[in-house]
Amino acid sequence: MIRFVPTICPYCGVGCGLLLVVKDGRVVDTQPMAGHPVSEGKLCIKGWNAHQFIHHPERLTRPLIRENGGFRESSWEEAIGLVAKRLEETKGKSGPDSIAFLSSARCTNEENYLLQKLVRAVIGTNNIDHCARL
Amino acid sequence: MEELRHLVKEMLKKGIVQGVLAPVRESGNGNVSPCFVTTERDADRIALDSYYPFSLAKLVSKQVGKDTKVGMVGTTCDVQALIELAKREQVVLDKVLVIGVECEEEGFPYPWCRRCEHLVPSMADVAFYQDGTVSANTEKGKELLSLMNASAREKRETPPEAKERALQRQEEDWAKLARLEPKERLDYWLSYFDRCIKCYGCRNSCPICFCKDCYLEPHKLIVKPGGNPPDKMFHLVRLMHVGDSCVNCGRCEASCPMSIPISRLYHALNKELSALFGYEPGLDLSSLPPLGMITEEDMKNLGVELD
Repeated sequence: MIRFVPTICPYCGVGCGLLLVVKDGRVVDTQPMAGHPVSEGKLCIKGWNAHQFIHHPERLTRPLIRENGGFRESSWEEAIGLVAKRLEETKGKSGPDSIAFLSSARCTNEENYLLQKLVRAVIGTNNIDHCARL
Repeated sequence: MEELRHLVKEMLKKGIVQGVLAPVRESGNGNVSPCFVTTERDADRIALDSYYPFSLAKLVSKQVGKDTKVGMVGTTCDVQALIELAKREQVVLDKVLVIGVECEEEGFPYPWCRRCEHLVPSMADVAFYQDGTVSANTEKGKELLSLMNASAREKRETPPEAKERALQRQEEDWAKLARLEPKERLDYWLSYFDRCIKCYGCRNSCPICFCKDCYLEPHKLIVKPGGNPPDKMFHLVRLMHVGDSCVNCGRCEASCPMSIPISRLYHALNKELSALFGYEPGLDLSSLPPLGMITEEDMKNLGVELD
């Protein structure tokens, strides 16, 4: 009926340990993870509320494409295709250094590595930074 | 511990409860986590040999439906917290089978545990003692133990010598503060409050903080949205709300990322109020928290000046 699911806080790069309180299949609360080597059973206000976006009615669950002053739901394939096409266009018109990329502390190390690889090897620029420096 | 686990397994097997909230030891990293025990395997993981920094009483009140029959295995402070929540109608005690476990004196290396004078959970339905014996303290508890054919001893209280030693340790803990002038003491606390990063961890962990519509939420305007540290009133509002019923469980301090010694303040104030009103939180369901009950006339009779 009630489960405590261990996970890592999704918000910043510190990586505090938390337990999601799952009641009847829905995430309803957060508890700090006692004895976690990083956070030692403590959390900041974001961690304490880490469960709130999961079932939030305004959470984006599908990619949106801006069109005619509004947003249209699309498939991932279409959205990523559009992003690739526009990146290619911009690079062709203004050169690779006209584009910058921001990675995220919420990704894994490996995902961050992959993004910088894409930026440096495919796009051809060193304009890569991460959200923790914003 | 084996007897306790056996009792929990029997409760589950006989369908007396839907589950039992208890601290369990994680097999991988040895951490202690809360668990809603429903299987024998989980029951085998129940561990009370280290301090658990979450309040099971609060979890019962927040996450368990009022009609659900559950068990709770906890140390004395957590059982006290459950009694306080029952007084506030946040828990229906008839639905909760409370199994308390005696703590060793200074068993855990935390300031609040060192100050603790309630080692024996005498208000739990069933109490397990450090020497391996068990007692049934209520009718519910007697019924439960008779179902298990367990031999019970007489209910016991915390030994007076242990209490005496705890009072001495409290004096030591508060000695430095007691020597300060009131102004200096206020500065001592205000400088600690300046560290606060407004994580609300103390409020979220505190079993006595039960309000659904909390006064510390930004829309109530005591704590303005944005900016740190929060207004000094953050801690003082909370102190006013829970000070008379603090069970010195230390959950607030254990969850404070800035190491503010909050439990020292709460416990000290609670002791002063206890002396004044003859009220001890968490021990007796029928005595109600004084700050909610007191009238102006009572205060006059006690010689409290209202300016």
